[in-house]
Amino acid sequence: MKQKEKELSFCSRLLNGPYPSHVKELASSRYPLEIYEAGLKEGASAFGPGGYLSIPELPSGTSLRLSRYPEVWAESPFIRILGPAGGWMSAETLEALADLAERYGQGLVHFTTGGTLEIYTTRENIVPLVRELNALGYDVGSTGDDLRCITSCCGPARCDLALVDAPGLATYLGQRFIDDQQYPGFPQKCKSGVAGCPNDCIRAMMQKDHSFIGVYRDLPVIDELLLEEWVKSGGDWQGLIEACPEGALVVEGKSSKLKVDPEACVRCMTCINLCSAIRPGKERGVAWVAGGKYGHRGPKGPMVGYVMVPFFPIRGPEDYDALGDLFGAFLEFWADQAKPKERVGDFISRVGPSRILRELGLSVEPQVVEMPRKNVFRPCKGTVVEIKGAFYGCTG
Amino acid sequence: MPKMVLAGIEIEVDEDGFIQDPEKWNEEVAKALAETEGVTELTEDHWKVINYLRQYYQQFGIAPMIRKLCKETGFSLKQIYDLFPSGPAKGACKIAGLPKPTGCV
Repeated sequence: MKQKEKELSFCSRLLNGPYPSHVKELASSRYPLEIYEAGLKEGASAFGPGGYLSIPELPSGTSLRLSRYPEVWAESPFIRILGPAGGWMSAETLEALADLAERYGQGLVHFTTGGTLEIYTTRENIVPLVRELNALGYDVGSTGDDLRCITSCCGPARCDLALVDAPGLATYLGQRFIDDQQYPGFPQKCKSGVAGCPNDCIRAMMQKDHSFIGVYRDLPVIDELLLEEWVKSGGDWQGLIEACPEGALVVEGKSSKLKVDPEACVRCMTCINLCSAIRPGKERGVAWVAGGKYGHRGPKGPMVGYVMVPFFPIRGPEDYDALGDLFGAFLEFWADQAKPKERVGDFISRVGPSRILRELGLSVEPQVVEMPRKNVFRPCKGTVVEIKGAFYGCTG
Repeated sequence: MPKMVLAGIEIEVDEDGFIQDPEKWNEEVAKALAETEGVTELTEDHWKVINYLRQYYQQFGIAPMIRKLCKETGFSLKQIYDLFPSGPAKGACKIAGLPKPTGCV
């Protein structure tokens, strides 16, 4: 053991300390630590570029990493499992997946940031592994230039702030657009997610190309009795008023009654998060946001998404079809018009949100396209005619 | 460059089995290539895709974008994969005698 630790001196350093160690996990699987060590020693990644794996039956959901140390480990093919919305997995499912990883792979499962799970395996094991996975009710997808796994927050299944059934809508979209997740036919990847409220814990606004975020359209509701109790129990109401980014919380006269200024309120969640006596409004739906991306890929670099449509009412699952129609129509439009390898954000910034909205048959609201990240509920002085072509290089 | 005997003709192919000289392609060669890609019978639907790919290649010198292929032939991407299990690039383009596509197909 001492000898081995000496051989793996770089990796061994990552084994100790109070924080969970990835090396410990890798070491207790059949991942060849020597390859990680070799890379660390050299000061470069042990892996070369990845690549597509052409496996009949599986247009997407499998991929490959090529090693730079073929004598240790030539290549690492893997499958990517579409994860359920909300990110839940029962202990039973995890055990079944663990069993598959043990039998077909290296006893290692990788949780990706995109809501999927990867099992590293070998080329010949991929098809039998996927068959067993299908028997469990799971499938692979989400690799290459396709619609990626549709993630969501936990929504009303576990969160009191959820304004819409985010995992419900994500599952609906996932099922309706399963072919787009399994047959790569887009110019570039398209990540997608559904957030239950503007807190956006899943980062739909910034990390996803094409998403829905739960919103409310009326004003936050203040329960006066509860607010009084909240203040009595030590709630910092001065801090609450100051916290509002728009200064929309005002004290009525000399009383201690709080009021929301409807012109100033941007329907964010700041006061709601701080004070349990303030709850989101009752008129609920989703905002359609598109174009968010992290990282420096594409000419525009990292981007915050555009609020394309600030409010679609959702009364229940009966409204999902219309949202799905819009979701699909935009995917088609982008896939037809985008340049090769153009992410959604770069595409929108090139053609302009106004043109996209018009092409999809939606109305172009000045307060949406003029200041897309500001208060889309506030009346705006500009007109569509003035905006046409002026702000985003729109050619339409 | 490796060579393969396809339909009685010796043809140069690249490392992935794409024929190098599109002029040497004929329907018999297509059938022989199809067998290497797990397509046992070339039906009318297969020929529709193959003929479109050849026509496009002869006109523009490249393989069409995947979405164009789907739109022009009227098949969904899923149907293309059903016809050519190894996909539009490795399957359909190879059988149609196109060089290995570098782009999106």
